[in-house]
Amino acid sequence: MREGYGSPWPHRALVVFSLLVIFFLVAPLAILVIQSFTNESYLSFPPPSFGFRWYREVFTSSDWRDAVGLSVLIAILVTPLSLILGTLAAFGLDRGPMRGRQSLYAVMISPMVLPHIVLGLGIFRIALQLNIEDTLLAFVPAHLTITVPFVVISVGASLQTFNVTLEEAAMSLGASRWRAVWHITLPVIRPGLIAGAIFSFIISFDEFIITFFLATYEQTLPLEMFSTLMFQVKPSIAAISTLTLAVTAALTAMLMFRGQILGGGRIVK
Amino acid sequence: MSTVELRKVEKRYGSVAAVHSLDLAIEPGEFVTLLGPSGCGKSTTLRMVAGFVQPNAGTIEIGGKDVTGIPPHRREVGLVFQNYALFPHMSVYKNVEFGLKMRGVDPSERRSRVEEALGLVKLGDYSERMPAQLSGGQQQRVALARALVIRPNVLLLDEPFGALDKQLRDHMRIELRDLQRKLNISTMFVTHDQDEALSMSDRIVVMSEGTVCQVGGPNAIYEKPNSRFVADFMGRSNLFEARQVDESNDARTLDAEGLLLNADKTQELNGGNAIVMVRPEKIELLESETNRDGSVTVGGKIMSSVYLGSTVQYEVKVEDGPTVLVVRQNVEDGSISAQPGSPVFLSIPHNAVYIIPQ
Repeated sequence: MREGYGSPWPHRALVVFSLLVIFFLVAPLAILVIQSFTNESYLSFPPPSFGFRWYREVFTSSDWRDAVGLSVLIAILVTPLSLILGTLAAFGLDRGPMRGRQSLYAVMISPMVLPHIVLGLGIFRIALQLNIEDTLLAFVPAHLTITVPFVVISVGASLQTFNVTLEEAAMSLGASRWRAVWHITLPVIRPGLIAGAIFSFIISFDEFIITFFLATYEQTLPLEMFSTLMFQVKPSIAAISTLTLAVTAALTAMLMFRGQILGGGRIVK
Repeated sequence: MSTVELRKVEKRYGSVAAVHSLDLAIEPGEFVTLLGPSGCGKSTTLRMVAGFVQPNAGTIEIGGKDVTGIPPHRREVGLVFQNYALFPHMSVYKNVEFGLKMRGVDPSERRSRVEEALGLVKLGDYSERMPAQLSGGQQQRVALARALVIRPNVLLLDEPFGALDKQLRDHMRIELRDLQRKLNISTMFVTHDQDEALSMSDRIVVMSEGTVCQVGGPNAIYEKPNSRFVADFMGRSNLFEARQVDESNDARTLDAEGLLLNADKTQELNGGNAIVMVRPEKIELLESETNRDGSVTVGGKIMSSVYLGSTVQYEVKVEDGPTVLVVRQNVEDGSISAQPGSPVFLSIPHNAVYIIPQ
């Protein structure tokens, strides 16, 4: 028995409680994943027979393919732009004048706390005016407004623990400021950059509300899933959800794995 | 030609002058220490030489070239920081190689120069280690190798021993000085530690509030400070207000707050008043009154004694006079009973009495 517990019961109760929480979080996902492998034409649990019927359906249907394609395209465009903009902003906030830094930071990350429906409405108005609704020109900047704050936060946190004398050391050794940042600062804050990139990708890929305002004919994956659900509940929804889940989980695992290697192992403050 | 020359250098932050009209030259191969309390402008001066801080006025020359306004990476200076500032994502080898890469030195020459530099600091076997795997002293040596490998005109050291424990610090002091002599590299060293300054420097520049108080060899700075501030800053001292009461052919008799002292007449006395300094280790403690040639002997009472290991520090109240600080080597000759309250005699040699010029 661990020290500090008078009786084993509070400890056991905590374990049971934690297991319940995990169960309620994971169980619906697990059921969804299992259902996606059904061979029937309707959703049921447990499925009477198993197969890849609905995965074939998802991969062959041009609607799903187009939706996934558009979502991936947007996320691929958004991620590097988000990383560049967010990193520049984080540098500015870290190195710029102290005055107004706090309020500027608050403004930059405000899209995280603003209701997305309000943001979406605002962006929709502008897109209409510019006549760019339903195009990448609207989708990409719209997604950037909500992904950039995540980069500002993750890169900003890395910069805060970054020792600026490293840059000065590089400059005294013959590196211009740009080369010092490129060879020293960016590699040292890499965990923050990777985290920012992965957040940006997942958030853009998963974005629904703002895209919903902007899209009419174009359908991203979340929009396609929503409109499919509006009319019928087919197992293809379960299959596409499982695929999305797998991609997100892989990216998150990568984030944790990289974070561990870079944050804990090679680089020690 | 001096290696580094600062002329009338001025740095202001708002209306506050961090460095005020500073003139300073470092000769080839010379080890010059900037010494002073924090905020005296010593680090700002070093950062101006390195190029991280731009002076508001004045010029800075390195190797005969005016570098005022030239960015750090084109100044040919080797810089060692207090926290070493090793690149955490690069091996020892890559750290040392970095400066050569930035200068476009070709790979085969890079290799031999990195190996030579690591050999100089005795870290040849550590080239594949990451900085985090090294001890503080080893990191310090890598930082030194990294600064030296580019063959800078001047080596700049900013409190480089601040993060080391005392034993290692004493060791690194000797090692650094040996290396500096061997390479004959001009060095500017910044510290607030008097012992470091005294033990390492060819010349010490004592600074206070952005100005130079005194420049001189360690001996001159310690024995003949030119102001009360320098006397006080360079270790323990007895400072008394004094006025002349008598004068003979070769000596002046001074009344130092009730203590009568003889000082050599070679020392000038402007006006009748002066501040005199007597270093506490130059005063002898006697159990009985013994008159010695060239010394004055006065009676007093031990007020306190502080045991410091190799030395013992006493406070002695002179009859009708000031309290005098005395430091004696801790040698067991049984000459003094250290109990507070015991009567003692102080023997103060003439040549220990120094009149601070005003």
